[in-house]
Amino acid sequence: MNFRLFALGLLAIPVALATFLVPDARGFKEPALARMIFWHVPCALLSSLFVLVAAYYAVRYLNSPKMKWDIRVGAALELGALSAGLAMATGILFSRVQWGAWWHNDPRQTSFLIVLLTMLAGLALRGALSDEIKRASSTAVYCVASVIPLIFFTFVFPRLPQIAGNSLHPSQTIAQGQLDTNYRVVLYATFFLLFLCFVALFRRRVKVGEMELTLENLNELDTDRRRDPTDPGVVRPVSLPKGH
Amino acid sequence: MASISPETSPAPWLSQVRAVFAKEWITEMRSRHGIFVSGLFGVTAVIALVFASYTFKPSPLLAAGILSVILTFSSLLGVPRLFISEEEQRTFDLLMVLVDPGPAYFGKTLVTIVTTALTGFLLSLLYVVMVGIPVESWPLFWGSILVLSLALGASVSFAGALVLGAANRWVLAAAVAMPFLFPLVAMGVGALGAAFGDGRESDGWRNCLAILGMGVCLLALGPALVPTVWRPGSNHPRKK
Repeated sequence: MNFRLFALGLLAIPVALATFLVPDARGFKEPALARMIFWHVPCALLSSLFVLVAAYYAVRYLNSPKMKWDIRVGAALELGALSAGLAMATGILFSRVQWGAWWHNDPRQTSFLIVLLTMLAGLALRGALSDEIKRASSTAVYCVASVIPLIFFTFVFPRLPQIAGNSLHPSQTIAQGQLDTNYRVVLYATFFLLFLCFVALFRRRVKVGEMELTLENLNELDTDRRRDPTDPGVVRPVSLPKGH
Repeated sequence: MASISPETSPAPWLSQVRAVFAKEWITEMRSRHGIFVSGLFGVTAVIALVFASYTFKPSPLLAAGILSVILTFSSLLGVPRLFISEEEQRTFDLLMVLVDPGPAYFGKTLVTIVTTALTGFLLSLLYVVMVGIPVESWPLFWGSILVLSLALGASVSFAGALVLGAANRWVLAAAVAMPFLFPLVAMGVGALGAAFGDGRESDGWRNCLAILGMGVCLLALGPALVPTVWRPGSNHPRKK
């Protein structure tokens, strides 16, 4: 077994236990279920991180167009969408349990949904282009350009005075140290754990992508070798009657 | 119209932009397809709103939201056509022989912005008159429409340029344009809301400035990035 994965599994046990052992939070409708923030907040942060990672590799691809950068862009987009999806799912559950409805017209919920849709649109763009070089360059340009609106929706829009006042999400609780010490420690630990998990997934996805590419290259090479250079292909030899 | 041909040395950047602009403008004026599609959608939306709001008058903020959404969708319907139809008519490669990708993109984007602004001005006027929304600040209202048209045109052009060669490119253009359009709608509501009397006028101008900033960013990014997509194979060592 891979030692790193084994160590990650070992780390996951105490962290998962700690999320259950911390005392119930005060001021919630269902205090026991407030623990959902241990998974919700790190997933949301990781999705923002993967947006930046995708943009970084997109810039590298635009600087020197090599397929290895494109594989990383694709992996970052996929994992960003996965973590954003997990953040949405846990957020919706939290909303139902604590605020009474599956979906509130909360600015932060809506802005995060746009972030998720943006990543899905990037994946749709990748899927719609069959030529791999065109796919790589289009995705790279899209990732670079979409950083501006994504930063706007993740960091700026929810903190605008008129929005922050109307949102059910607390905007500065962690930054201003208003979170209980136990909760803060466990939150950092789950973030660290999820970060390591997603890094492991990212490396695996990149490896799979590189193997796919190698396999494709080998197939093309094999097809080239099998082709008889004297074979005229689909063109049938035609002989004209004598006298013409 | 500036003359350019593949035999001569490359024409200056601005001449190429002018030539593409003239070509697109003449084509658009001949068929008026884009303007008609965008305009008809907008008029239908305004009339539907008038029917729906017989018994109540929308608040300034709601009116601003509806107008922003109408303008966004009307630009989304007609505009990527300039890029996508070029490929569907199989004239895109010929265009790439005659002009560089950067100026081609910029020329098309300029036509897009002009047509979006034209339909935007007409639709906004129609909206204000038919729905009967009192406008508190006309300069802010027209300023908002102008910068919104510029930014919408730049965003939709960018999305249209990215999806060339893709399957289902019309639907995909809308999906790809979405991240650029949502901030514009959010800021457009702020600007137009202030013009209709919701909030301070200075806040409305601030929103206008933010919309302009985003439009200019996309306008500047486009010619720099789009050539990578349009001529991806030119410096590409295949599969490294």
